[in-house]
Amino acid sequence: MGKVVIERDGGMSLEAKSLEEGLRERVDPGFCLVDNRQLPVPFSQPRVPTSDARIALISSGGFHRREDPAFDTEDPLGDPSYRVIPRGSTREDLGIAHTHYDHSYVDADLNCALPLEHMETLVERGTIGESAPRHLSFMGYCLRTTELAEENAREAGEMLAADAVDAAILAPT
Amino acid sequence: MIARVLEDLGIPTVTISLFPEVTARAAPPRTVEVAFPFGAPFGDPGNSDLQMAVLRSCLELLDEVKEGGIVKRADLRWKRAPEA
Repeated sequence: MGKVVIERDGGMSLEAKSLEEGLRERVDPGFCLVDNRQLPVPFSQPRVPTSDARIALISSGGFHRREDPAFDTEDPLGDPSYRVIPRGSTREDLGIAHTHYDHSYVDADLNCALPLEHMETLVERGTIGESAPRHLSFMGYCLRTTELAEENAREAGEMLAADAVDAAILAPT
Repeated sequence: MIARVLEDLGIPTVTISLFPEVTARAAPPRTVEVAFPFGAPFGDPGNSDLQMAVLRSCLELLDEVKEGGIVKRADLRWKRAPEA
C-alpha cells in the first residue's frame, strides 16, 4: 500500500485525487469517489453486547462458493452483486474473482481477509454470541456505486436482518 | 457505503479501513484503521494473535461507541514487513 495522506477536514489528498482521476481517465469519465462527509452519519445502537451478539462478516474480497457464479471481473465498471458465504466455509470451498489485490495472503490463510475460523473461536470463548449463518462477500472493485448501495447492499442487509444478525464487521481488501 | 445502508436497516456496523482517506469520504459510523496491505485487513498469514486483535478492536468499538463517525487507529503491527 502506498503512502496515505489523511486529510479529514475538507479538501482531498493527492492520493484520493489521483485515484479518482486515474479511474476517470481509464474507465469512466464521470466517475466520482463517494463523498458522504457532508451528510449525517447513520448510526444504530447495538441491541445486545457483542458477547451475546450474532455477528456477520462482510468482505469485499470477491469470494464466492465454488458452486456459485464468480463475480464479473471483465466489466470495467465492476460487479455490484454479492455472494453468500456460509458459516464454516474454508478456503477450499471458495473461489476468488477479484483482480485488484494480491491473493497470496488469503491463499496462505483465509483468516487474513475472512476470519471465519476465528469467529468460531470467539464463540467458544464467549467473546461473541454467535457467528452468523450467512456471511457475505462483495467484489471490491465496483464503480457502479449507486446500484451497489441502493439495490444490492440493501437486499444483502435485509437478508442479514432476516437472519437476526445483531452486528456486521466490514472488511475491505 | 454498505455500512451506511446496514445502519439504516438497524444493523450496527464497524468498518476496517486500509485506505483511511477514502474511508473518511465514505463516512461509515465506526471505523478501525489498520496499516496493512490490500488483501489482508486482519493481518498477515498465520498470525492468529494479530488477526484476533483486529477482530477484538472491531468488537470493542461496537460495544463502546455511542455516536456515529468514530475512527479508531489500531496500533497493531505485522509480524514481519509485508512483501512489496
